[in-house]
Amino acid sequence: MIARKIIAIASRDYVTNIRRKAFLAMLFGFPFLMLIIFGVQAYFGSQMKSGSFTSNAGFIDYSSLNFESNSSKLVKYSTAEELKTALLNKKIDAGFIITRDYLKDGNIQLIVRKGELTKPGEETALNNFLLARLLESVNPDVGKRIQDPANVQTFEIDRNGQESPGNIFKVIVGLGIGIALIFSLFMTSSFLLQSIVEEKENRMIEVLLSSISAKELMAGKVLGLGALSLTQMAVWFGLALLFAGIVQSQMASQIGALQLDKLISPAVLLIYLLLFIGGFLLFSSIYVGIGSISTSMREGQQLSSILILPAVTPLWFMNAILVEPNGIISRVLSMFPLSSPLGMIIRMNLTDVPAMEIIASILLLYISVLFFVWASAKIFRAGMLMYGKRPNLKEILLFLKEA
Amino acid sequence: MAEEIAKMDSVSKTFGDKKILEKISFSVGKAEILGMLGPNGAGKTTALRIFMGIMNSDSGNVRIFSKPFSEKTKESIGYLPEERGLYKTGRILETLVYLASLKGMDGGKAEQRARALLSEVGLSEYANSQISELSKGMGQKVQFISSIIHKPKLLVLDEPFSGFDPINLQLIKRMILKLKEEGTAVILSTHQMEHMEKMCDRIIMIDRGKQVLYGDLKSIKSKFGKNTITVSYNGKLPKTIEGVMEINDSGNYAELKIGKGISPNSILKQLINEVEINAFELKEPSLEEIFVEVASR
Repeated sequence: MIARKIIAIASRDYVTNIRRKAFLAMLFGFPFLMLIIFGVQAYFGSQMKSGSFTSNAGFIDYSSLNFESNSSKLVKYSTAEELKTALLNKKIDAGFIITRDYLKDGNIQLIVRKGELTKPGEETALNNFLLARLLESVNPDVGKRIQDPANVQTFEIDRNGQESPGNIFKVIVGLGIGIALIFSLFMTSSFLLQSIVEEKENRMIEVLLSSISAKELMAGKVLGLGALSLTQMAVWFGLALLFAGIVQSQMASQIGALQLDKLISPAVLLIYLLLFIGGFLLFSSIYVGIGSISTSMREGQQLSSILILPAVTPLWFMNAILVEPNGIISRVLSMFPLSSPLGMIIRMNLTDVPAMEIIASILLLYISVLFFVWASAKIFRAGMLMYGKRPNLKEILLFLKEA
Repeated sequence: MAEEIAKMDSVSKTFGDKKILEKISFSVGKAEILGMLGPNGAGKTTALRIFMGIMNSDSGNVRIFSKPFSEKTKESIGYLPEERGLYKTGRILETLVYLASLKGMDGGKAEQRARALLSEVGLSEYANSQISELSKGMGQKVQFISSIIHKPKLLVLDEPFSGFDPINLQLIKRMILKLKEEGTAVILSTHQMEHMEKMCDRIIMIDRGKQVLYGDLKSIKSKFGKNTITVSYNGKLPKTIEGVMEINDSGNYAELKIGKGISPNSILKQLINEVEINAFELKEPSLEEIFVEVASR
C-alpha cells in the first residue's frame, strides 16, 4: 500500500512536469540547439580545412615570382587600382598584394571592404595557393609532403597491449553525454525544487503529510522526477542515434564508420547509468532540502544556483583534463561527489581510468547520497511546516538533531 | 464516553529551549466531537500535528483505534489543517481522486464519492473545472471534501469554519454533524466559540502549552457555576447594584455578572424596587466567558 502511495506521488509529479512547456522545449530544443551548434562548427571547420577559395578573391604580384592563378575564384590584377575597384564593386571579397620583397620577408597585404572580415579559410586558401606556386619546381611527391607533411593516424594501446584505432568521436560522444547528463540532472532537480516550493506555498504539504510520511513523499517526488530525467535522456539518446545513423548513411565515405558500439560498451554504459542515477539522487536530495527551507521559488533558485558551480567544474578545467587525464586535477574532479558524474565521464573518454578509481568514485558518490538523503529527509520534515520564514543555520542543525 | 477512538497521553514537545506542549492528554470517542480551545500560539496546532503523526513528540504517546500511531492509521483519519490550500493547476475531480488515492482509496470509488460530495456542497458542475477557476469559498469547500472523501473514522479539523460565509458555514456544520451521527469521532479546533458550544461534547483548553481545562462541556459549565443573570425590564437600571461585579446594560435588557456566593434573590430584591421586571433568568457562563476567564488567569 505504501509503495502504491509512493507511485501515486511519483505519477502525479511525472505527469505534471512532462506537460510543462519548459520541459518540452528543452526535450526537443536541446538536441536541435546542439545540432545547430555542431552544424555551424562543422561548416566553418570544413571551410577552414578545404584549403580553396570559397568566394571570389583577387591578387597582384609585385614580386619577381610572377605567380599565375590556377582557380576561377582567384583573379590576377595588374594594378592596385583595378584590384580596389573590383573590391569596391563587390566583384571580389578580398584582395591580396604580394609585396616586392615577398621572398625575403613573406609579407602579404590583405585588403577588404571597410567593416568586413575575410571569410573563414580564406587565408588558408591563400597559403595553399602560395605554397603550390613556390613548390612548382620541386619534385611533386616532395612537394605534396611539404604541403601535408603528417597524416597522423592514432592508435590506442590498452593495458593488455591490444591496439585499436583512435576515435575522435569517442571524446565528442563522451563530452556530449556528460553535458546532456548535467543539463538533464539540473533541469529535473529544478523541477523537484519547484514542486516542493509550490506545495509549500500552496499549503498542500500538510494535507499530503496527513496521508503519507515525509520520507514517502520525498521518495515519490524523487522517483517521479528521476523517471522524467530518464525519459529525457532516452529521447536525447534516441535522437542522437537517429542522427548518427543518418550521418553514417550519408557520409560514410568521408568520415568512416562511427562504430557506436565500440564508442560505448555495455559496461561503460552501466557506469554512466550509475553515475547518472547517483548524480541525480545527490543533487535532488540537496534540492529537496533547499526547497523545504525556502519561502519562495525565487529564494529556492537563488540557493540552488550555488550547486551548479561545483557540478560544472570539470568543464572549467577542460584543458587540464585534456592534457593530463590522469593528473591530480582530473583525479580530484572525478572523485569529488559534486563534480564526479561529469568529471568521471569526461575522463573515461580520454584515458583508460583504473577500475579501482571508477569504483571509488561511484562509492564516494553513493555514500554522499546516503548522507544527503538522511539530512534532507530531516530538514524536509521540519522545514516544510515553516511558512513564511526561512530557518537559520542554528535551526537547521536543530532539525537534524530533533526531527 | 463512547467507544474510545483516539487518545493522546501526556504528550510534551520542546523546540530548542522553548516548551511548546507540556503533558497534554485527551481522548475522543466514537460519534463524539471534542473541541480544542486556546488563545493564539497556545500550542493547539502543534498538538494536532503530533496527533496526526506529522510531527514527533518528545515524550508521551498517541494511540488511535487502541494501537500506537502508524502510517497505516493515516488512512482512517481525515485532516483539515489550519494552513491549507490547493494545487494551482489541475482539475478538481482529478485532484480529489489523487488525494483520496493517498488515503488508500480505489480510483473508481474515489471518483464516485467525490462527485457525491461535490454535489452536496453545490459544486457538481465544477467537477472538471480547473482549480484556478474556483473562488476562495469554493476552494475551501473542495479542501473540506478532501478531508472527508475517504469516510474517515476520525476527523481532525483545525479552524474549519474560517473564511466561510454564514450559509456555507451552516452547510459545513451540518456535514460535520452528519459525520458525527454516522459514528465519526471529530476533533475540532476553532476560535468561534458559539459553534464550539453548540457542537462539542467535550472540551480541552490549552494555554501556553499547558492543559488548563478538560472534560465534559456540561460539567465544566457547572464547575464554573451560574454567575450571570439576564434581566428584561422597563425603567432605569441603577448604575451600581450591590453584589454585581459587572453590568452590561442595553436599555431594556441587561446581563449582570454576580460575585461568588451572592444570592440571585438579593439582586432581584434590589431590582424590584428600581425597575419593572419582565423576565429574570440565572444563566450558566458561556464558553467564551470560561475561555476568557481561564486565559486571563
